[in-house]
Amino acid sequence: MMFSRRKFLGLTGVAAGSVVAGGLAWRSMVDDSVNRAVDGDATTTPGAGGNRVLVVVQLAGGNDGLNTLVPVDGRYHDARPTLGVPDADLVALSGTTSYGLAPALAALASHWAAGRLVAVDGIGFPDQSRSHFRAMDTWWSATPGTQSPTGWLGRWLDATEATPDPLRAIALGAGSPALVGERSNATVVLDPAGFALQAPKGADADRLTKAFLATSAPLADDPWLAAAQQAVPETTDAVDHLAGAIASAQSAGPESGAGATGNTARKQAGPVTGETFTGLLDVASGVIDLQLGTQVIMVSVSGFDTHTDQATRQPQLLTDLAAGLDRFLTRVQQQGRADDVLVLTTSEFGRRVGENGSGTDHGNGGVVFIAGAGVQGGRVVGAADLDHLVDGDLPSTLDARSAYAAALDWLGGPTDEVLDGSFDRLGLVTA
Amino acid sequence: MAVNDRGQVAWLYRRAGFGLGPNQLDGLAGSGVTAALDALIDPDGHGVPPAPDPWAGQDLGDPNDPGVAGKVGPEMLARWITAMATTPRPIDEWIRLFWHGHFVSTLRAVKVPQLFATQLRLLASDGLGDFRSLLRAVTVDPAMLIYLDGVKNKLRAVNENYGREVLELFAVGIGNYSEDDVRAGAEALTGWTIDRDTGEARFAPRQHDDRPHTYLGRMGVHDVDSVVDAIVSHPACAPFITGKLARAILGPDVDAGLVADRARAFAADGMGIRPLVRALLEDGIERGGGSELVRSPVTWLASSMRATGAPLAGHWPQVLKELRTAGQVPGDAPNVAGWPGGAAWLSTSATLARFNLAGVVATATDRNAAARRIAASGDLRALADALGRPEGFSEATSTALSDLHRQGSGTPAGVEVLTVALAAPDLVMA
Repeated sequence: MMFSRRKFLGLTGVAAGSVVAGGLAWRSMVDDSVNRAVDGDATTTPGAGGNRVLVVVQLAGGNDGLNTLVPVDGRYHDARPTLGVPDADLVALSGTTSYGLAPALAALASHWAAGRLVAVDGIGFPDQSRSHFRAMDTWWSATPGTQSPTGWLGRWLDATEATPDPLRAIALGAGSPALVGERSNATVVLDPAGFALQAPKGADADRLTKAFLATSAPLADDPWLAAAQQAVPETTDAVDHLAGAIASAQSAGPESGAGATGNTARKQAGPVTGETFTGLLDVASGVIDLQLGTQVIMVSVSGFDTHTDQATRQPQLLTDLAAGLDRFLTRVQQQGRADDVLVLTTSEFGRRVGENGSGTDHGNGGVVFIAGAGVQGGRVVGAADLDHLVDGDLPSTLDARSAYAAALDWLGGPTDEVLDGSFDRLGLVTA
Repeated sequence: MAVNDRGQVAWLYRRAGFGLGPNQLDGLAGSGVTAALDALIDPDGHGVPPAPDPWAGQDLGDPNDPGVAGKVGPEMLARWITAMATTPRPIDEWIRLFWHGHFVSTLRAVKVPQLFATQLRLLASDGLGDFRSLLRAVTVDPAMLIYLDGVKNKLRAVNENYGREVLELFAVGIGNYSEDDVRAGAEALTGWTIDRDTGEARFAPRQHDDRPHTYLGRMGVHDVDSVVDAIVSHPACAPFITGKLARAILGPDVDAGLVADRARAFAADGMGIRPLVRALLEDGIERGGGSELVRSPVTWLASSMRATGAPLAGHWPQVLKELRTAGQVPGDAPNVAGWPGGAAWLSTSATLARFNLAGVVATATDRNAAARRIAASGDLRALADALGRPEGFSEATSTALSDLHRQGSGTPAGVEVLTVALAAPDLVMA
């Protein structure tokens, strides 16, 4: 790491043309009345987890686990006459002949071989739903059967911080209810390329930011208006802290390789560009390098709802995922932070075993990957249980809270309190 | 009395429109709240001629060009948002945007701008009619057939995508149907495709499963009409649609009893959407405004454009980029459930995008326009009124703006004050 948080602020506070970076300087003015104690000196939050960063990678839309971690099994081929990946095309995994990786995930093979990557198969929640939105709610809240206003990571943030700091949790690509706590609030960066305050031409940027910040105090009685007011200093803070990291991540790295190719192809698809795992994970490694006290990063990319055209679309997404993860893990290693990072991939459900023509409909049990130096890797935990299909779906034989518990233990807990129960850690991670 | 009327009229036009343009409020409030509501909800009855189609005259490109969406899409969006800001019939654009966030499709997935425009036209032309007709039309709308894979849903390759989402998200809500209903509905809707020559929906009987299905407790359901009939007759349908409209108009905390009452009337009244919208607005007026509601970035932007009269020609690339940062690009909802709304519009990303967009709008506002002149004068009461808040700014915003004005020298005049006023938390709320 080249700069401390404080140094970095000093450097960026006077930088970059028309980009406003003066929010912090004015914050003392509103701190008291906003009653929102964010400590500008909190370089590292000395709570649970220390310098550890959990990166949750969300494959939104319901990733087809069967075509991700592919079983070497005749029944799979029977169910997937057109979408099935031929055994000969699979990426071999050391330690198992029962599964191979989808060819699009080839970039992850070396991490598997090094024991830094574990696959958990047949995983989901006890009331696993085929509805995207109910399933996502459950994966975010980790409270199957009941609705919860808080997410599993939001509750962990609540439990481990004395004063909320929006920079402890950062959502990239999409906001995530998983990060919502009773007190804690995450910073949301939907589009890294746009994460900067721009003052109109001819305006005094500092004066304008100061006035914008002043609209946040005193807080109104109305709770919604007050929430809109509180968003203002949170935003200027986040821009102060993150704009530099994001800019360097955007310009960093050769735009080559499979990830960049998938990137370009997908960005050309419509009038609006789509984020990629590669791009967002570049930002994530940049944020980790800054040591802002960030302990949870959530990366989300959609497109996995492959009812049609799965043979083209899913490999594109998985290629981007593997390239992004490979580059991310390499970068944190170069930063000397390999021991401080754990990656967990999630998706709201797996997909139907039988194909529907050119795709697959919503299903149940799926596959989760966990990567990092602390992982007991190079193995498949659980199984795609083709013997016991439920309504044409793989069952969820493992509880997703096992993966969450392993991750929370690694962060230093409290785990069972956050998950409201004790779940088998399955030996996934060495805390 | 007059002040109260001004507040109520401004509220109506915020909740089911995109605010008001310069000096419009005086005229509307002068004839009373009821007359203003009538004019808003029933432009035909008030002699307002049909507004031009936003995409009239736009070359929507060659549908066979794989890159056509990227070439044509930005101008489609610019025209659409401009229509929201300028139409003399705001209710038509308001309902189009509402249904677009409900019956979601994305240009990214539909890929053919003509078909996407056809769907958007349908959402405005039929959006205030009866819900059964709207649902039937959407079910076999070509863009929807592409977006939720109806075109791939065939006799021997049943695709559940539309069959599931029409129940869960479009009409009855989760918990009110079974997995068997999902399957049966999908099977009964097999066989719809798009005519290659005309781009219109076409029914292909040989790809259709015409067996009678048991669906939502009805027997003999076998085609699009019987599917739609079963859905709209389901006891959960009217409350589901009423609840969604009520939250859009009255805010997220709308009273459940009120929704139930309105849903009964809606069902009994042939599911007329226009009378439902009117009744919900009347409820809000009666309750003195209704609970708080966060404006979506697009609604906030269009309202800012309308209040200032700012044309954004030349700024659209930046505007669309900022809307993306804000999390709401029309035609590009994050998923089939549309935009989450509420607190999501108060995120760091949305907040910074509004600040940046406020600067764009303030800069684009003519220096002789009322909003700019008033902003330059520092008369905050008049400025709040011009921006659709006759009740004035909050204490925090008033202090912030008067300090900013006192520091003076906003070059060019009024731009700084107008920027902060538009971005202020007050204007984020509807």
